Amino acid sequence: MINESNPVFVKIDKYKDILNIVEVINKKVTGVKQLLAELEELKDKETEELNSWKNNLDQITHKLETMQEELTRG
Amino acid sequence: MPKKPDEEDLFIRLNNPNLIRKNILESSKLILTILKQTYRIKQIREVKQAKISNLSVQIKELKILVQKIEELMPQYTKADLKKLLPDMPITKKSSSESSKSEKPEPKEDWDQEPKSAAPISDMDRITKALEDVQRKLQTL
Repeated sequence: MINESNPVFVKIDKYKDILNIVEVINKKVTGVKQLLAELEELKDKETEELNSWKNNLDQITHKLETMQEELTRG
Repeated sequence: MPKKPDEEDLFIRLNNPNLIRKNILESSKLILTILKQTYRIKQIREVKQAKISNLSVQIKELKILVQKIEELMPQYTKADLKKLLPDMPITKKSSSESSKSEKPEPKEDWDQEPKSAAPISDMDRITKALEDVQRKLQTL
């Protein structure tokens, strides 16, 4: 178990490697955040389309009902 | 040939044929709109799928980078090692030895699984890795 009171020593070359990796990680995380934002936008767009789809289907149902009513009235 | 009286065409009066025609046309228009929307939704899902795949690749790369940091960080202080292994002389590991010992634990666990078992899915592997990390965190 790593004890907090005992510091560890990292070789300077490894330390530089770690810093470089952290920088790469930061860039990647920013990219991932951007991707997530794009996905969210797409999800919203999809929801919007699905809602409109449902709305159109409701309209068709209503029109069919009207037609049926008109046809049976005769 | 003349039709028999019972075969004669029957007609029903439609009071508002224009309304019916209008409804048919509008329904047809709506159906075409729905078809268009279906196509658009399909396109959105394809783009989404591509983005999710990309996200998955990025996350895998992040995982590797974090593992790399973990490898680069010293795991124990000399004092810790003395506590853990009092009888063992503390010497510097060779690079091949250290890389062997630093292999992730889950892999060892997978090797111990019986060969007849069903292939482990990615989800199982991730769950196992997550449990492993949680276990490590608890020991800190």
